[in-house]
Amino acid sequence: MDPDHERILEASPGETLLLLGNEAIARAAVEAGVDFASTYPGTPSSEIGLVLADLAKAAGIKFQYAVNEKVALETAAAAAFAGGKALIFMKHVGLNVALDALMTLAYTGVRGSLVIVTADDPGCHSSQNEQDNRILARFANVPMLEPSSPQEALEFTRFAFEFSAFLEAPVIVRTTTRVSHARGPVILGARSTPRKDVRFVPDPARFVMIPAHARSGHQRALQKMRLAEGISESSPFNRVEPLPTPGDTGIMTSGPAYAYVMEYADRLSGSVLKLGITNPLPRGKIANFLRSVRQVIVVEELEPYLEEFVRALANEYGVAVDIRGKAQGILPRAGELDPDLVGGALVRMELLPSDAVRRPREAKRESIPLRPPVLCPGCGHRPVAFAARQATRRMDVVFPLDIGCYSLIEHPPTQAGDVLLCMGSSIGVGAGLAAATDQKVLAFIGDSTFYHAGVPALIHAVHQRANLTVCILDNGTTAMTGHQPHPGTEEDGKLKVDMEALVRGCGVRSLEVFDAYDVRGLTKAFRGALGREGVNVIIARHACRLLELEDMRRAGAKPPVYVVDPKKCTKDGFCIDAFACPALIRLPDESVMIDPVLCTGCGVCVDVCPPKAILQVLEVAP
Amino acid sequence: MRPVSILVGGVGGQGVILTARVLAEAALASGLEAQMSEVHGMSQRYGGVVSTVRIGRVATPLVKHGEADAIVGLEPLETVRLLSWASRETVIVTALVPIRPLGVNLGLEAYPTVEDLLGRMRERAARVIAIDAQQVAQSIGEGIVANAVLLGALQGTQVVPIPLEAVRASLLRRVPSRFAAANLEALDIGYGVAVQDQYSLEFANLRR
Repeated sequence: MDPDHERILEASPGETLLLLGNEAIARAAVEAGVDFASTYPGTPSSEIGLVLADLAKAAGIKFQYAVNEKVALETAAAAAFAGGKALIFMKHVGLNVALDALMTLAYTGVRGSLVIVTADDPGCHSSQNEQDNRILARFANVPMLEPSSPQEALEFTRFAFEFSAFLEAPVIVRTTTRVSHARGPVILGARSTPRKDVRFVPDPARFVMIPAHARSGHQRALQKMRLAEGISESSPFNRVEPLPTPGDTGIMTSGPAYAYVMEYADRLSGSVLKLGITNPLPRGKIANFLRSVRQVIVVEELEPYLEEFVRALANEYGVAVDIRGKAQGILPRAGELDPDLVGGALVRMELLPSDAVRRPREAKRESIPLRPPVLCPGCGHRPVAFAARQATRRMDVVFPLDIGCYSLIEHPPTQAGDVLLCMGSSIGVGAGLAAATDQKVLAFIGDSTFYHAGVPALIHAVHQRANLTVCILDNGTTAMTGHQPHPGTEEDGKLKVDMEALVRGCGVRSLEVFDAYDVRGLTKAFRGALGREGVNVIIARHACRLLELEDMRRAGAKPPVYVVDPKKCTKDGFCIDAFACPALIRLPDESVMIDPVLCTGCGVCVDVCPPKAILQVLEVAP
Repeated sequence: MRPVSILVGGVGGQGVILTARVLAEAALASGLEAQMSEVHGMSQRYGGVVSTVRIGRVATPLVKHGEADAIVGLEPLETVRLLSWASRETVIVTALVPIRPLGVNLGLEAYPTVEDLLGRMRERAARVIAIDAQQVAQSIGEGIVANAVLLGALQGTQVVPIPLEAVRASLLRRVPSRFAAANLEALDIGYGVAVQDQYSLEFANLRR
């Protein structure tokens, strides 16, 4: 076990550890005595799984990486139907995938406890959208807690299990990137052990959601929400905090936005209503707060979720109070908040003196080159994109793209990405383009994403006789989120689901498999496939170079060394302009050298260089 | 105690988070409070990365623009990218070896000269300590300890209220044992560079 993970598991109650919000949630699972945990990895939630996967055995937790979030939620719900304590966690968009299950799960409820962590990503640090999942909690009639810090991430998640057990309902804990990836001191609580005696006892009226049962299920879900509101009213997680100076202004806030407000606490007057249980909201507590002040400022990230509720409530209760929020444009509805934005808003509202936020000349951005992320040196995705570009020169081809490290092939120089929506969308969009247009379509999808959501779309494409080429970029792992396994990964105690058999089972007749480093083979294969009718699948397989290098290091092996032969290099820069491995460096005289520190010895550039100027060094003189 | 805010910036893979974490854990071990923010996921693949550390009692690990007490840059362009957090009171400790971004490598953009970058830093900070940390690290025999040189220099500026001993212990907990000696040497050399720089600053002031 990783020594940090061991401390998360073994540290005593009362001890303080410097934990990520995500690590605090993993500790909360241990403290709650979780029986079953599941996830599909996704930033910013991934570290919860990296910790739990590692300590699961020692902690007696049954931990599974699920094929996708819907299956993860169904399995975790089943454990909770049978009386167990279950935890499932995912990124915000993962809850969309699981939403079908969640909506009805609110009706059935659970027998043990079920906590669902959704890690939202305001600012789209690592995501395709910045949806606000507080709205999904209200939509689904599921209670929700919103921590502001790693300490609260631990306390709220631990409480969420009790809350869920009391209500016999699923409970959502919503973090954001700034909670999941903040690291702060966390005071630990006591551990409890998993039960291990869970057993499913049938109760069709409760668990079989045919229409007759669903109608009463809906009533039960609403009753539970009324019960939950009582807890929301009395819970210290929803509390009024007086500011150092008394005043008639109230600030309502939740999540990390609370921390940004408190950054200015010593210069503010009035009081803050800190909301930790944001579904159901405590109507009485909020109404009293509204009555106690002259104006209310709502400081929240993304959607005006609290604001719209509080406006309706003030109207309903007839409280004459001035409410300021997104409707007045005090804060943006898109993008992440930060202390500067919140401070600026409070200055504009004249709640803070103008010198509370420095806006010096320095605040202007320096005009310097951007540094977007790039594929690693030796990454198997780069030669695939290069081959696709070479094969489709002067061809009218659309490239639907999918979610993973390989999303980066959309950047120059390959620019092999035209559409990207969500997990698995490359094949669905590809099938649609094939049906709606006469254009040729080459869709890229990663191995983990293919298992997650690509399979049904592939079945559809085959069935519809779409003229579509699908390239599965198979690096054997879920690389971007931290190398988690998937059903196609060789793993102890698990049965590997063979990708070729799966593709053929979907009805695909044209299937070719290449090493992702085989630029020539792939170029020919892409050209051939795009000239054929029907669905063609090309698997481009090479293990993630980061894992390969780790294996080599462990075995004491060194990757091969490559150099540019200056006599042969024509200085036309094709290798950089078309392939752009970070290890290829353009020298002032336009010739190219290979950076020995960055190069991982994949050797693909040997086949990329037209004059064959790149050579492997077979023996380095001592 | 007035809280102290530090930004650590660099290129994904250089050890930005590790460097910040050594500081935060050293603070906690010295009985101070500390918070930090990290960046994970896609931006770690050779993209620009920043991690913030705040020592003392603070509400959030995020640092307001113009309010960094110190900026530690593991790559000069990335140091300049953080200048909007600097003020005329900020101390900057920066490495000097450029890592060229994709756009520069493709010839779409030009990488400024290191002189230009240092000029921008000097214009906007109280003090800039520029160290060829990679060169120092290689002279110790382990290129990997460059970040420890910069961490040592940061300690030498006395901006961070943590004893050097605590940083030393925290560093040792975070690096593989085979690099322990090299890291400690790097830390001491960096510390020495900053202290010497301080002496020469004071000497220059005396003469003025």
